[in-house]
Amino acid sequence: MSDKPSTPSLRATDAGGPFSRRHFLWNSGGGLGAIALAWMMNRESAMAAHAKGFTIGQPHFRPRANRVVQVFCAGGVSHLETFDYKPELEKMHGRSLEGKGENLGFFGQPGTLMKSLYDFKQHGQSGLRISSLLPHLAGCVDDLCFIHSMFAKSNNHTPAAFQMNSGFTQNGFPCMGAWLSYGLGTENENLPAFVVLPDARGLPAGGSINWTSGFLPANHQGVAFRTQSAEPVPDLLTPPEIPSAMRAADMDLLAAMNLDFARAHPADGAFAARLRSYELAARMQSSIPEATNLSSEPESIKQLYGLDEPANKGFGKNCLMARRLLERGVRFVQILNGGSFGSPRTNWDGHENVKENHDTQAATMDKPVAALLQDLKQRGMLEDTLFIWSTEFGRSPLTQGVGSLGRDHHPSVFTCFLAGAGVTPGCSYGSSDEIGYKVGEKMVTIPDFHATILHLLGLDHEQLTFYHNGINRRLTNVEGQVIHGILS
Amino acid sequence: MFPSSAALLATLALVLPSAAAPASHPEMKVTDADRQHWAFLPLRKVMVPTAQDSAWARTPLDQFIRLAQEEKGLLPSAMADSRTLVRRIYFDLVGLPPTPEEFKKWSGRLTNSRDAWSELVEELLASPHYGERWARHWLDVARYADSNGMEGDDDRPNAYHYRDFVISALNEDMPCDQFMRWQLAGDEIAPDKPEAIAATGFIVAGTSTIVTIPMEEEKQRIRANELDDMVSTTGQAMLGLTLACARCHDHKYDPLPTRDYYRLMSIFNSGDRCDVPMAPPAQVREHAEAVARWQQQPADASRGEKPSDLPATFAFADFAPEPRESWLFERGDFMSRKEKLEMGFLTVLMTGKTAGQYWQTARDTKLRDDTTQQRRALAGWMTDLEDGAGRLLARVMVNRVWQHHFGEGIVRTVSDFGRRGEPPTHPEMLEWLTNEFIRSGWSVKHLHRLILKSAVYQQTSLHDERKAAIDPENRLLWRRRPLRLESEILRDSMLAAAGTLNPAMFGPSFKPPIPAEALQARNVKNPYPGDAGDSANTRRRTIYMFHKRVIQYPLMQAFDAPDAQQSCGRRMNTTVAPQALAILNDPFVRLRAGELATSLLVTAGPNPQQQIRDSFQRCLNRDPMPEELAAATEFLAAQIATHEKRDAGQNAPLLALTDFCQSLLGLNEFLYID
Repeated sequence: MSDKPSTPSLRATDAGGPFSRRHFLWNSGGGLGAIALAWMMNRESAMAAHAKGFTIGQPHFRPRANRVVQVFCAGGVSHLETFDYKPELEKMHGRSLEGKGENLGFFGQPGTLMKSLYDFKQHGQSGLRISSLLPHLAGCVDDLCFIHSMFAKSNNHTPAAFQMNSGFTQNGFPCMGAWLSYGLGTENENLPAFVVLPDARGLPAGGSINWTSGFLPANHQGVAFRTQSAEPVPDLLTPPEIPSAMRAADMDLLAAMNLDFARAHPADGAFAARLRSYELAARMQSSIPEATNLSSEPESIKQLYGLDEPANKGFGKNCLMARRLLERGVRFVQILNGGSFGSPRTNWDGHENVKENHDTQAATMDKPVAALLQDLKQRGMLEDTLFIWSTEFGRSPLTQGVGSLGRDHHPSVFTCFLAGAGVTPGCSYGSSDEIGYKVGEKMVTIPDFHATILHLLGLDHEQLTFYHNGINRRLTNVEGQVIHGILS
Repeated sequence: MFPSSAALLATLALVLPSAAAPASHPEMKVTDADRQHWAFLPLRKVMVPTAQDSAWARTPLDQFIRLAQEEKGLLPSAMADSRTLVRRIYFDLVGLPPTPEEFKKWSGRLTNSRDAWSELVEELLASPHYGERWARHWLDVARYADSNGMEGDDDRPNAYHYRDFVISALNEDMPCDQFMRWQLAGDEIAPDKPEAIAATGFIVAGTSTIVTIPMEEEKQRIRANELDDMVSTTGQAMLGLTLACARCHDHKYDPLPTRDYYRLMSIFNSGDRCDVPMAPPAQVREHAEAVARWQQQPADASRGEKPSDLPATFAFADFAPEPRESWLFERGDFMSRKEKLEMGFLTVLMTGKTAGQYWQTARDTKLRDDTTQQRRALAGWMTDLEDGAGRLLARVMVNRVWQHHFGEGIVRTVSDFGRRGEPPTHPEMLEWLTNEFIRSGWSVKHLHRLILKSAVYQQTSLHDERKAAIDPENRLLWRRRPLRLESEILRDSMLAAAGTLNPAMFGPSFKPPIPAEALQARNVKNPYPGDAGDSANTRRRTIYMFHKRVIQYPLMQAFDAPDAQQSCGRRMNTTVAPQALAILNDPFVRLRAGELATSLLVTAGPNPQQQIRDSFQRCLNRDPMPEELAAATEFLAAQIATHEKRDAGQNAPLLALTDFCQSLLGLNEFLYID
């Protein structure tokens, strides 16, 4: 211990002296964000250096979509009860399954083949079929692009949900929204680039891992809004006893002193990120309440989303909020439909009785999602917004156990749909086999799905990388092919 | 929704096969080659190497560190200054900032004498706050919380005895092998010691559901999941192995057959979580007899008071002296039971002694008659250095301790020592430390001393571009990594800086005030109290805070506290806007800022410059730089003027100083330890 009387470490590397900087900051007001941002970007560029020839925050080529909204239906939506019409299954109703190999269900109790519990009719100009479970979405069919040949790796909710959201079944990998925030930056500094609107009934399996930034810098993490609260983000609002002028002065002081510390630690991105986090927090204090306040919406819009109907109220509100967030430049909004597991389940996990379960769930999902599609379309936003409807896996064409009315998890084929920017409307891609058990034609893996989404946003999924633990990590790992067949 | 009685009978027929079918599961063969994975090998005696540049080294550890650096042409960093070191070790060992008096004493002594460092290490290791700080690390691993989680999230009012056991064990430096044995079988090993009974709270600390569903299948599923939590947490926490993978199939990467998994599971299948009396078995019997006598008496005035209940702890207890029948579930399907299994351990970590022999030893020396002694056998194997899992357990624990001192483990995947985990950055050093740990009698405090006295621990955190180019991730420890305070330590430090930390130890957890908005849409059985206010009880250290699984305290959640759904060996460390909002707007932070300001007005008097100096000492253990002093003075004057205008002069100096103190509590310098 050779030192003289203790001196703060920030002095050692502090060539400019804090006073001049502080003065600059106090006089320039908003300069801090840009400085901190520059540091953040330097760090990110260093980590991205292994990927040649592209700039962080810029698309690689001309994007078709500028923003994304993803509806994620937790629990596993049955493709057979919604979008995948299987007349052969009807004929084989009640029979046992032979010649398809091992049963892929989670609980391993194969029953007998069960026909769809709903009627399928053709809709719209395209004549695509949707079941009677989803009358409102049926009205949007000409805007939708179905992928009937989705394939997931896991038949367990948590890893399957992680795969749909992050590409990996293990936890800790950055989610799609985080990759887009990292790859494209934000369009609105005053709102998080990646917002999650959880179902009021609880969080999906794996909770906040479904919107983690993993090893990407933490500012790309999804921010989950408490959508039923007057204060959507905890501690968002300044206590009433603190006037705004004083709060502004607090913030200036804090920023000036934090900046010194960050400068003394140029290698530690977290310090610069914290500077930015205060700045963002201050702006969020006004921008989030404004964005999430639905009172200025006309009655007709509220009715469109079904806000006056008990079944749609919670989720419908989130869908409308999503539109407002997208309008204000949020890059990626994820809306979760379906809450937690346990008993009773409040998600799509229809093990015991698919009809009972899906009736309840669809009543909350169908109308608001259709409303969001229509609303985006009527505002011209569907032109440059990519709409994703997804779930973690489908459900088995077999009953779960003999005599049951339930269906087990089924990752080996299921349906998702896309709509909006760059996607062929009213189209159907790939297929399941005759009974919806396995992929028939044109398998689409989750990495293919992700590669296509990145492509629509102007990003090459092989070039969007981040160096971590010796590997240039990608959303699509070492797989993924853009599905050119669905691009318009 | 519920099946008809006929369907229920059919289900039951599936669940309870009438006769055991012959063994059919093809077993993964654990070979000698499998035992060659570094983590499974017997401990090697390692010679301390001599680095070329030995001047820097202070302890044997440093030779290992320096040698690895020399191979890459890296230079270590200089010794940190005494201010940095005093703060570093205070936060590291007791999780609280030094008071200005403590700081003055130790920084002065350190500046004069290197020996003072050893004295400081000893003083802090002897502090009761040490156990409070380090227990939190293990409680993360043990996924400890005060409620069941899942949908109902019922409270566990007696769970805290386990937390108290962990704190006490650390403070007493209980040998780590005993610490582990008690957590698996304290009730069998030391049935007369209440704290040993509480120690088995480890097994049951995971989430659980109170089963009210009449469906047998659902009950079986819940039971299977809860047993899985016990098996996989034990494997992950103590052995750094991802045992959960072997639930449905032989482990894909590690030599862990499904059969081993179900043999371990059978041990826990002989009991369950419950509230266990914290009393010796004899006293429990006497009490039961007294209650029975009381009940037999006529219910009139002469009967007297019913004997009061014995204190209980939320822990594990066997059902009976005989083990429960246990099965191998084909592909993890609890309906598919083709083969009965007896208890057993991990084949890859067994040499020379069978599970039966461990069990026989346990039964031969049993201290109570009402349990199976299976867990005692497990505890014996787990800590057996020669023939059991002891060497792996010791390596895992040494690595966990190292991680908390440096921010990263020697093995960075702290809960995965298998083939898919990362190899150690300093394998020889890990081996040497583990040998030392065992030689000291599994003393965690000895391990702390070895680490804290090293030069590598005492380096500065200064960045260096050239070194970073060689080793960008600082794997070779060429500098100190600044560490952000964990959420609990952040909260504790704010209380300490405010001077209002209530140091009362142990006992029932307190429920802190939580804004009503955090409680939305929850289907919980024991709702959170809406009227919990700030009180002396809520100003205790955060380790005593009631952790309700589905309602996380916002400040904890914002700063990456684990949710206790699963074992957590390494916390996330994020930097997001919600943290800034918590610092700026959380009522807790504002209250602490107000308390700090109030006490500064007393200690520093009306002079703003003195108030600022004192506040810096209280929060940062340093004087403000002249520029900071000038800026802060300017700030205070402006805030006073504004407050005077707004509140007609009421308390303007206090309010202005409160604003200032809150800014200090939000500083990176407050949040990060260099």
